[in-house]
Amino acid sequence: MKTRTTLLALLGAVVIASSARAGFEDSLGVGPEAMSLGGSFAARGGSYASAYYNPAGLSPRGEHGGLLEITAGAVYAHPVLHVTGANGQNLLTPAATNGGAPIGVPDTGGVLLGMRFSLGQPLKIDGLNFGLAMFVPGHFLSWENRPDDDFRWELLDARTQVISVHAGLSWRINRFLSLGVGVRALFNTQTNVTGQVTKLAFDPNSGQINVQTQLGVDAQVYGQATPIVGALITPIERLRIGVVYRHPSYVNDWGTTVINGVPDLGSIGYFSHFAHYYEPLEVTLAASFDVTPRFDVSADVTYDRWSDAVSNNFNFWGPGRWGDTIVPAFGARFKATDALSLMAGYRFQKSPVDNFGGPSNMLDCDRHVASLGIDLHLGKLVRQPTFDVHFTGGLQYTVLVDRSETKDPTRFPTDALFTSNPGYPSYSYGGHMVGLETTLEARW
Amino acid sequence: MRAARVIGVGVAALATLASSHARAAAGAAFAETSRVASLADAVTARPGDAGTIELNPAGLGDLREASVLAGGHADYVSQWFQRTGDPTQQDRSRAFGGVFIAAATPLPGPAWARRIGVGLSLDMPVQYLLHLDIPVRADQPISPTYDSRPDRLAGAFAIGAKVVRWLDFGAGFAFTPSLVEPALITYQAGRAPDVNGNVEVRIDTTLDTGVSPFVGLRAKPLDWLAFSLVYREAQISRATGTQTTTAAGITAAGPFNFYQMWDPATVVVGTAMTLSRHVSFSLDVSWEQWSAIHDGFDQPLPGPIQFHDTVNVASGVEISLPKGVALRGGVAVEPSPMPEQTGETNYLGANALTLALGAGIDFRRLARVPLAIDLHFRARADALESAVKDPSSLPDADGTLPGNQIDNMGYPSFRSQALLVQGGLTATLFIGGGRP
Repeated sequence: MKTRTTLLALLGAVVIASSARAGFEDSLGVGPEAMSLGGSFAARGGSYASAYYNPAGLSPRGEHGGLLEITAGAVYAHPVLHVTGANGQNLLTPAATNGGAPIGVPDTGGVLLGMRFSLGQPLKIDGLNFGLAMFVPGHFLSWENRPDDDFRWELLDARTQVISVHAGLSWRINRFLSLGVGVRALFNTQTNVTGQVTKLAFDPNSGQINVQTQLGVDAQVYGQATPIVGALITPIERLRIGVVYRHPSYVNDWGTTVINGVPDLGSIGYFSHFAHYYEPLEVTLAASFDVTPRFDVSADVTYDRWSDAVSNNFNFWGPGRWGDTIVPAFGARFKATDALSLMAGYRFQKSPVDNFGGPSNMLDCDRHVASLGIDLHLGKLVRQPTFDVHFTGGLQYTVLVDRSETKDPTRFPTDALFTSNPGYPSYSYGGHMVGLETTLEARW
Repeated sequence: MRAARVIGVGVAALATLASSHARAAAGAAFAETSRVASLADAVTARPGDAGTIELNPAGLGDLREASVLAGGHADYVSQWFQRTGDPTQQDRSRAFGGVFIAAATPLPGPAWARRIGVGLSLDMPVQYLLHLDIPVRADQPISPTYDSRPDRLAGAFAIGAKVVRWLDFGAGFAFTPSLVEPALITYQAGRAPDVNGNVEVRIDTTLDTGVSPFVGLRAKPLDWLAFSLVYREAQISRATGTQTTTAAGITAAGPFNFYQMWDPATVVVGTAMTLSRHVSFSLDVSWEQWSAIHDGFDQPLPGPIQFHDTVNVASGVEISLPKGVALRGGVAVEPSPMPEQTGETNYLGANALTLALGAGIDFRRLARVPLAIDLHFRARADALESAVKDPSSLPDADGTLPGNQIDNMGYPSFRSQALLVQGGLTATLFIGGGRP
């Protein structure tokens, strides 16, 4: 009866859930272990990945003395997406060059680095650990500034194309409780551009005035640390409960431009402001349980306050396009042999974005995310237990459930804007994505 | 013209995670660990640690156990500039600082694997992750050493191996990204109630991950004598792209190219000698190819104002006392790569002398605690720079007026000087698990 009640509660969570997290951490997962377990990792521990999922997990129950783990690996993801217009035509994000070809969502590729070590050992404080998780994509960062009415995969395109850094510190207060704090490292940019007009020419054929300027720049990038706090409670050896809070964050990108020497006008200028990589406030409640010494399961539920989110242009077309969501995630691990573990996971992420027939064309779909993975202890495999190196691999398949959008003329300021909107009169969109992560982890 | 500001963002992003001048744990300027700073960077022939992976990656072959180090530094640079005839000096002084973290370890497993070490390090300024200033005027006074260089995130990775008992070899890379950024700005009247809302901005910002390799050797033919040879590739970042701005009948279009050299190509030859059981000495001689530097708009500097290559000399002494205490001192001489600023540019800098002092305690010996703490203090004094402008080499500021109109910011002559003082602390945590 008890089991049945638990199952009903979990199913209920799935049914009522509307979810979506994004970015590298939530679209793919920090490390193949977390990816394989469907992102259900807040009540697990003993990994550098806990720096993101639950910093308290950096000091799980049962670990004593000094430790050092260094992890390196690779990440790859390939999305296959479509946006189909009312006439069956393929619709894409416009280029940022005059006459350039429209663009799609690129593949994600990069390097994953992790580290966890005992910070308390020299101070004779058992269970005081530090962890670092870093994803470095092929591009350190990539973002696209577009009007919110251009087609754009709001939670896919640039969000996995930026360096991701999480650092955490945890302390196991007693065998029942670990507490952890972490930071998500981001940056803000301020750019002040000054320019001087160097040449003016009138083209009688086109009727255009062509202007040349010499530009100078004073650019500043500021660090930004967004806190993550968590607790890991271990009331009995087989059960772990995790609670995590993540503060919202986004990259603030602002600046001024002043051009001097403009004929008749003297100086002209403007102020600009964009937002990138919005991550909502998140609260996660999770539990993991060792069903047998060789089999464990976990479940996470995460509340995401997307209603505070901002688009690239700070919700230029008005508020109300974002809604709060809840993400359920499940994971299971089976230790088949001393050297081999098998993992599987699933989560459902409902989209937080809806254009409601208005001018914006921010694309996002509900996601079903299923994953599998293995963990191999290479030393035990070759019968050299002192060679404490693990190979971990995770494979993830994401279905982006097809969705449609029909433009509503009452939501447009003018008829001209209605009929000229890139999404007029309607379109549908969806797709799928395959992700792969592998790491080697050495432990001392 | 709205696109113009985006270039700045790109340039800012461009430099994030690149490496730079005075090599630190990962390469950011003036962000060396306390042990390295107090030896005036003359450490390429000394045994390596997590804080020297960019100085000489061969040092990773010396590692006996895993270690993690972290630390920070606080800096104040006092710098002034005065044009002849101006009643007061222009004060360019400022404070800055940074933190760093680095880890290095021999590989686990069989004996042959433990002869190989890997290291990773990250330097992070506390005020800016990056500050980059490329003025529109070529005659704006600029200090290539102190203006932007310390304000930059830097990362490096390296691997080293003990090839034979007396020879270590290592290689690694520092991140040197470059930026591509097309921009299209269009004014669409009637799109929104306010004028600013009528501007449509489309910009693709992509910071590609480039790397600058470095390689090193460390030979120890005798127990008391070691030699080193290190080569580091120049670290250069570029921002390129096209921008097109269209508003009514006006079109501004064209390419842009910004350039930043963080470090010139460098060759270091070093030696280290254990003079007695308690005293060791090291000497590094560096050749730096400053002649390859371009201006901020990626144009080679013309002959008369082109930088020249330099040879720097640095030496350090370490005295080991009982109970794991060490005292260190260092001195370095760095000739200025800049010629006298008689032309349009006003680069600030002169021959520099660095003096450093430091101390460290290894608590493994004092209290059997696997922790070491190092402190340092360093001063870098520039000589007085003075320059007298040659009017014939200065551009005409206003072609509509007769004669050669001069508005150069350093005309008719200027003087400048700088002094950097720095204090820092490094904590090293020894994890264990290496070879005996």
